[in-house]
Amino acid sequence: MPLEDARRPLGATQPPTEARFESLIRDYGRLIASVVARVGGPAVSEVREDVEQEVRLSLWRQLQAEQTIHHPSSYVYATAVRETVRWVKRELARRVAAVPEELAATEGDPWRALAAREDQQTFEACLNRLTEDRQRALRAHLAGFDVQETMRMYDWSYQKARNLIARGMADLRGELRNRGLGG
Amino acid sequence: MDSLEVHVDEQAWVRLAEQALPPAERERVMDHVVRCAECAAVWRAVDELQRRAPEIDPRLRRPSRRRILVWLPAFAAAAAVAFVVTSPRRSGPPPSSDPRRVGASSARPETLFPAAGTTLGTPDQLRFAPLAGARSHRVQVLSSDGKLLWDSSPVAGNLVAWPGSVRLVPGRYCWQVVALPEWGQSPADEVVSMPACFSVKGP
Repeated sequence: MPLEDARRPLGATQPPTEARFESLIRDYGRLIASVVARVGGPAVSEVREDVEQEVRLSLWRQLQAEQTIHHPSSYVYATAVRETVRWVKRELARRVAAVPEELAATEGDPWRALAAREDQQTFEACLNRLTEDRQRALRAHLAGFDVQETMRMYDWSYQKARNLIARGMADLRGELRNRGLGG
Repeated sequence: MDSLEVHVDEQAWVRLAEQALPPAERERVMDHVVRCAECAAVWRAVDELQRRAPEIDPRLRRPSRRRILVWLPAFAAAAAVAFVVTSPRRSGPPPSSDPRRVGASSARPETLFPAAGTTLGTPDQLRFAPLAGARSHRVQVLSSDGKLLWDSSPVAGNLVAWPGSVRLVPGRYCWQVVALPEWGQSPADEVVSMPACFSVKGP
């Protein structure tokens, strides 16, 4: 757990703990909504009350099962992470479902699919020839993560992440050139 | 996490956010995240929640970082100058130098002359404050659009003469110092100063 909460267990709630708990739920509800809004767009931030309600409901279910929560703020934090994961996944699923049919149909060309698959395989083969950390840095970079995100992901220093990406890119270009691709 | 079909589960996300995942497990999760668009989106959300949670409860630990750079958020764009040289995804204006470097971590070399933001004629030398205990230093000169114009060989001492190969025309230039720290094992461990950008005036 990321913190130690010396307060009373939540099962036998006293008013101050309840107030603290309520405030945590409210604050986390707000935070989750704003975090999810970055993935799902501003529309999600309009459902803050729903998010708060979900957090509350989730905690209530767990309270029912476990009776006592020894570290309320840790508990709310963990619940907030779970709820965030669920909201983001739900939002992503909703977006996929919303892709227009005509757009999805363009993915049906077997020749293009084959060429893309071959390119992908060549690319993967080139990537796989790099050192492990350079591969990691480069995959993160190519997936759209910036240097700061990459450093947090792998617990690297900024310089290390940046240098791994830069050198990985140079290596990758060399590999692609060796295979007659790229320039 | 070898297969893209097997997404990171909720429990793993919670443990990740609590910084309770063993390093090897964390690496496996991240190796999946960089290959999976869905988990990448989830990671971004969890990462932000983790970073902002201490605002709600100050006792929560912030995400760990082996070497925290206090100036990093403000200067990330500037520090990425060398990265611009190699990355096809980065373009745009040159790195901005910033006089607030006084707040920079001391665990890096510092550019001294020409100082950031100055305008001068042709500088005769490039002077820097070395990183204490570094194995070696190099000096790099960059154009205003981030192209590497000159990368010195290892420099003895704390200054280097302006490279004769770089012909100066009026405009903006940047330079930076690259140090290989004592603990560094490879070029990946190099520590780069904040770039200093200066202007060269016309005749």
